[in-house]
Amino acid sequence: MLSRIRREGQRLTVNGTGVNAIQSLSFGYQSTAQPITPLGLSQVVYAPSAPQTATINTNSLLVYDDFFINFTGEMPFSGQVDYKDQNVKFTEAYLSSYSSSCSIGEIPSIGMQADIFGELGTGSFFDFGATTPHDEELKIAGYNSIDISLDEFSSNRVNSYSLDIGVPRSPVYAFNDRTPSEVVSNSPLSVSLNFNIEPDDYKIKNMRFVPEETVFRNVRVRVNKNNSTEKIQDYLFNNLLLVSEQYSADNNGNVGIQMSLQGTILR
Amino acid sequence: MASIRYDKIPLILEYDGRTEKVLAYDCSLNEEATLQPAYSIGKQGIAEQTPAGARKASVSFSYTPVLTGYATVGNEFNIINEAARKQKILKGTQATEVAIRFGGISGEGLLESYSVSLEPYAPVTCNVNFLLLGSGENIPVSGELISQDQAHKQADLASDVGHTAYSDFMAGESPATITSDNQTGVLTSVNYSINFNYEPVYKLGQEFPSTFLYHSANERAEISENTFETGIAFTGKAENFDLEIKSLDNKTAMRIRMTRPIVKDSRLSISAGDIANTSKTLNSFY
Repeated sequence: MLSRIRREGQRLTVNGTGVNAIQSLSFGYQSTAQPITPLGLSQVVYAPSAPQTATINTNSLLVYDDFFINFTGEMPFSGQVDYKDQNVKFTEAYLSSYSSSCSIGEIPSIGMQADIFGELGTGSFFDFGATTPHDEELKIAGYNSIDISLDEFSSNRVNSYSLDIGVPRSPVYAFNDRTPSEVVSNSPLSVSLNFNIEPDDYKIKNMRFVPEETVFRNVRVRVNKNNSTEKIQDYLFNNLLLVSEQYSADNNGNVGIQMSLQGTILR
Repeated sequence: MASIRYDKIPLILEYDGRTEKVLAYDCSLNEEATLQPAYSIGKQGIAEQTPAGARKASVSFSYTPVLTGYATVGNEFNIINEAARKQKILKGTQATEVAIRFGGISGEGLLESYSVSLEPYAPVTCNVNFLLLGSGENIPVSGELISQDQAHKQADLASDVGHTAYSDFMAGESPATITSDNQTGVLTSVNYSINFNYEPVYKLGQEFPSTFLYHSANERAEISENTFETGIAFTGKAENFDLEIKSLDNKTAMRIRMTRPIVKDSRLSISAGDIANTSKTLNSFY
């Protein structure tokens, strides 16, 4: 009888440590093998047209061991995905984007995407040895335990936030090598922080506010354990530039304003 | 005449008793006549347009080399590379031609330029230009464009094509990127080219050349790397540089030997958001 693999039959381990609270996981590759179709074509032959890479994406609940944000630096990570009695290993994964978001009625979540420049597959690329198991006790955040420090939000209701950090990488390949000689972590990292608010006295800026009334903001998003003040994650950004305000309303709802802040982090 | 699809127009080369079907991505043929209007006092308009030079043609194409069957280096088989190798070291002055057949059109051409490009982990791509001048009573190109059916084969891995996977560019025993103070960088791409100079010998009473004389060749390799040395050592390394292009299965190869090249120029550039790019050009003359 055909069986299936459910959530309890899978596990992601990164650098020897189990990753908690994963909601979705995907990884894979798109072969760079391309057909060569010459003049007088009589046979299609295939050859690699570029170095092979792969990607891995995860989305997880924000729990206290959110260690993916630590990989926005220069270090790569390795890992393995176990499912049933199979395992797939990957090496030299470099985080390319990190995101965090929450809206009313949701559990705060984080997402990450990484480019894999090393290996990905069922080979024996490494052996973690004994891995640290998944933690049994999770400190899960709740939408009611988020503290956002931004002046406008004292009198305007925040419905949601979403944070995206872009982490640029530049792989350097020798022309005759299938893996990069080095992966340069580029600078700056881009930060995009979006809020959706239901305004009370929120004042939309003049669209020509740059340069005379340029608005920079220091923002702190602190995510605590559900129904608690115990900190899980603290995002602190200085000098984010207000780049967008979108007012929207319809017959059956309250006025909403989407405001976007952008910034950079230098390495 | 019905339109003809690319797969019905094979590009075939013949040289030194050997025939090669080229893995060509494109091919263009240009033919031109040098005409001059003849004016005459007392006559309105022109008397006629009259030839002021020979008809000539050029054929250029890009391709990926296939490395099977020609036993010179390993199992080298690449007519253009072999023709270029022989031409540049030719002791005599008589240039040799390569026969080109292209969808029913044919002619004999002098290899005018040949370039090879190597990018990370990709098939090697070459560009070539032939000069077709005709000879004696033979016009530069003849025949007509016709469709040629090809016997189909099953798809397969391109095992025999030149690929950068196992290729090398070496100066003696070291990577060609090495600098005078022995820094070894990462060689990210190579663009090699060679140009030949010929002299067609014309005589009165005959449109096309009676013979072709070979004069010289200049060869260059532009390499991109991540090291930079200030100051150019005009003395070179007193070593030959070998560009060895191997097949995807690492079983066969073709080789281009640059004889004692000298660094002609070096460049360093950087733009915001990127890493520094450095490159240099090596030159050899024959």
